[in-house]
Amino acid sequence: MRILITTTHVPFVTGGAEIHAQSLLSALKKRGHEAEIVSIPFKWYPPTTIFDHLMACRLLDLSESSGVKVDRVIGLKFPAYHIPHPNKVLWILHQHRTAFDLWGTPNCDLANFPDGQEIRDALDKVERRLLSESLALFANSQTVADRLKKYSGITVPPLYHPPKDAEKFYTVPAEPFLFFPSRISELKRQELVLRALAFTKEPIVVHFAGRPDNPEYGRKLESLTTELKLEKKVRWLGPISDEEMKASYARCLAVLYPPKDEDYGYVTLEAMLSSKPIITCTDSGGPLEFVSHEQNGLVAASTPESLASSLDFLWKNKSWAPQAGRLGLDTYHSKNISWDHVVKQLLA
Amino acid sequence: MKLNWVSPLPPARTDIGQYTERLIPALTAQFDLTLWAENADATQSAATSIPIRNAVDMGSHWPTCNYCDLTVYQIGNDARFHGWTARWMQQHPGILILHDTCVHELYRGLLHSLPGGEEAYLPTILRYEGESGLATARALTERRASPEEVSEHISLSGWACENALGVIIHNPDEFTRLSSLIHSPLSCLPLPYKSLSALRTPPARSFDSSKDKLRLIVFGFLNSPNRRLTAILEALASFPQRSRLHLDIVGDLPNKTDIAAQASSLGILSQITFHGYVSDDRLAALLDQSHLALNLRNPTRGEASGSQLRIWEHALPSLITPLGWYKHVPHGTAFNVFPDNEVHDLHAHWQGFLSSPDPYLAAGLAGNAHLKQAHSAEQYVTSLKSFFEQVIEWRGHSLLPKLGRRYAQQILGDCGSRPQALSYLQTRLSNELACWAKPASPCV
Repeated sequence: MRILITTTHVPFVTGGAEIHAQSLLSALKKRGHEAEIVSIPFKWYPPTTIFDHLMACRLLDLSESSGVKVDRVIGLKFPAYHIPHPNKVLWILHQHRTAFDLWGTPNCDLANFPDGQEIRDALDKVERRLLSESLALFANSQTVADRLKKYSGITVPPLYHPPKDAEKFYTVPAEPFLFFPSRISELKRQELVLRALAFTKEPIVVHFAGRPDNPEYGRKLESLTTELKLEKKVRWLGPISDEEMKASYARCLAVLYPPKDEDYGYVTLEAMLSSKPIITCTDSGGPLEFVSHEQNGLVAASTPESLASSLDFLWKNKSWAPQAGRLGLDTYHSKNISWDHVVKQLLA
Repeated sequence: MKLNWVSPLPPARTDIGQYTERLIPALTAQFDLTLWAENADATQSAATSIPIRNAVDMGSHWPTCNYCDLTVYQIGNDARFHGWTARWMQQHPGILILHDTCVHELYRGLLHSLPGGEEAYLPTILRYEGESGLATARALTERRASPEEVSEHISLSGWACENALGVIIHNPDEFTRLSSLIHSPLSCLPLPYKSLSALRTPPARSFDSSKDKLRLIVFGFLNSPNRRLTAILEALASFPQRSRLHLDIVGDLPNKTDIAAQASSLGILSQITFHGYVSDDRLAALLDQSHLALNLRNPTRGEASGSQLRIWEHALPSLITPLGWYKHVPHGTAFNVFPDNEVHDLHAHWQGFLSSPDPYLAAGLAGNAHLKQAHSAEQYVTSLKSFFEQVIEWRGHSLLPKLGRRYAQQILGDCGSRPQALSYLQTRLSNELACWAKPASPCV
C-alpha cells in the first residue's frame, strides 16, 4: 500500500511524538509498504492561530501524489490528523490538550487568553465533527482513550507500540544512580524531582538527560539545583546520543519518570526493556498502565515529600531493584506490544 | 452555573446600576456570581454580601473569567458607565444585555480609547450602518448635525453585538431589527424590577377634585432633551388652571439654570420645585405624595424604562410617549401623550385628572398589578438561566463566522487583482467552515 502518516511538529522541539512517527514509518516500510511522513508545523498562539493551522490542514489534498493514489492515511496528531482522505485511520497521540484535559489546570495556557473559552468550545465541536470522518480510531494508550471518552464522547481502543529500537535495550548490574531521560518541561516535572531530592535523607544521585523545550526553563531548573544545594545529587547531562541513553538505562539502579498525565510514556517501556524498576506518580497517566506499586516499580503521590519517601526506600533497598526490573520486563512482554500487531490493526 | 456579571453599580447614577442592584438577590439564588463593577467607587448595598471586583482588573484575570460558565455584560449608551465593559466585551465573548439598542453616543464617548481612535469612526459607521449611515455620520464630522440628531439615525447595535455570544434586550420593538443584524441567539425579556418580596406597598391614593392641587412629578436622569422638559413647562404655563398644578423635578439636571430661567420667563417658577438628585427613600416619598408622573421620552434610544416600573411600584398614574418600548405598555396601565400633540395631550390629561381622577387612579393600580405579574426579578432570572443554557450549548459555533470574516479580509487583501482565485478560495473556506458547524458526520 501507499501510505502517508500525517502528524504535527513544533519546530525546534523533538520528543516522543516524532519518534512515534518515525518508528511507524520504519515498521510500515519493513513490511513492504511505501510510506512517508507528512509533518505540519504547528503554532497555537494567539488561539485563533489554531484554527488557521487546522484550516490549512483541511485544504490539503492527499488523495494522490504524482497521479498515483494514496491508499491510506494514518493521522497521529492534531491538527494534522484532520487532513481529509477517504481511507483515513487515526492513531491518536493526543488532542490539543490545553482545550481538554489541561483546561482548568495550572498548565492550561489557553485560559490566559480573553477568547480562550470560546476557542475551547469551538475546538470541542470541531473535533467531534471531524473525528467522525475516519474509518477507524485508535488511541496510543488507555490514558489517551480515557480522555477521548471523557472530553469528546468517543470510545476508542488503545493500541500500544514498542519504543524505538526496542530490541536494542539491555541490562547490566546497577550502579548507584537514578536515570530521568526526557524533554525538560513543566509537564515532565523535573522540578518535582528536584524538590523531592531536597527532602531525601539518602545520598541519592539523579542523572537528568534531555533538552529543555524552553531554554529559560532549563536555566530555571539549574538555578533551583543550586538554590536547593543539590549539586552532589544532580547531574544535568543535556541531550545524549541513543547509545548513551541505552547505556544509562542499562546501568542505572532505577528509572525516574513522574510526568503529569502523560499520554503514553516511552520511558516506561524503555525502562522495562532494560529490566529496571520505574518510579512514577499517581497522576502520571500513561506509565500507570504498566507500573504496579511495589511490584515492578513504585508509585508515589505527586508531592516532594511522598516522592522523596519512595526514592529513599529504593536507595535503602537496592537489592529489590533487579527483581522489580525483571517483573517489568515480564509486564512488557505480556501486553502484546509489537509492530506486527500495530500494522495489522492500522491497515485492516 | 458560574457567572461573571459586569455592570456599573451604585453610587454610579445610572439606571443600569440600580437594575443590577435590584437583581442581585434573585441572581445569587440561581447563580454563583462574580460581580465586576465598572466604577471604582462601587459599594455593596445592604442587600448583598457579594464581593465586588473592579472591572478594570478583568484583563489581568482571564483564567478567572474563562473558568466561569459565562460572562454577562450590561451595556447602555453612556460612555461614563460602560468604558471597561465595551473594551472587554470585544476581547472576551459573553452575553450582552443591551439596555439601549442605540449606542452611538457610547461609541463616540469611547472612540479615543478604541483601536484606531477618531480615524476609525467613519470606517466603523460604514461597516455597521452602510452608506446611508456614513452620510449621516459625515454630517456630524462636518458639524452639520449634532450628536443627538445623528444618534436618532445611527444605532451601532451591530458594533455592540459583534462579539456577543448572545444578546438580551428589553424592548420588543427592537427584536426584528436586531435579529436581522446579529448571528448569535437573541432574546427579548420584560425589564425586571425587584423581587416580589422587596416591593414597596403603594399608598392608598385619592384626589379631591374640589380642592387638591395636582402634584406632577418628573424624575430620573434628565440630562437629555428627550425627557421633554421644555414642552412640559410650556404646557404648564399655558394650562388654563395652572394654579392647581405643581411640578416636582427630581434628579440630575445639568441645565437647571436654563430650565429655571425658562420657567421664570413663563411665570411658573413658583409652581416648580427642583429637588436635584435624591436618595432612593426620598424619591419614594416624593412618588407617594405625587398624583401624576410625566414619563415622556421622545425620541427614545431603544431603552426600556426602569422609571416606568418604579412608577408602577407606587401605583402612580402616569403619562408616557407611546414610542419604542412604551408602545407596548399594556392598555390601561398608563396614558399616552403623542409626540406631535404634546401640549394639547398634556392639557387634556391634566384637565381630565382634575375633573375625574378615578380612571387615572385605576390606571396606577393596574400598573402595579402588571408590575407584579410581568416584571418580577425572579421570573427574569429564570428566563435568563434558560437563555444562558442555550447559549452555552451554541458557543463554539460563535467563532466560525468570525473566522470566515477574517479569512475573507485576508484573502481580499492578498488576492485583490485575481477575482476568480478569490472567489474559489472564499467558497472553499466557507464550505469548510460550514462543514465544521454540522453535527458529526462525514463531510468529504
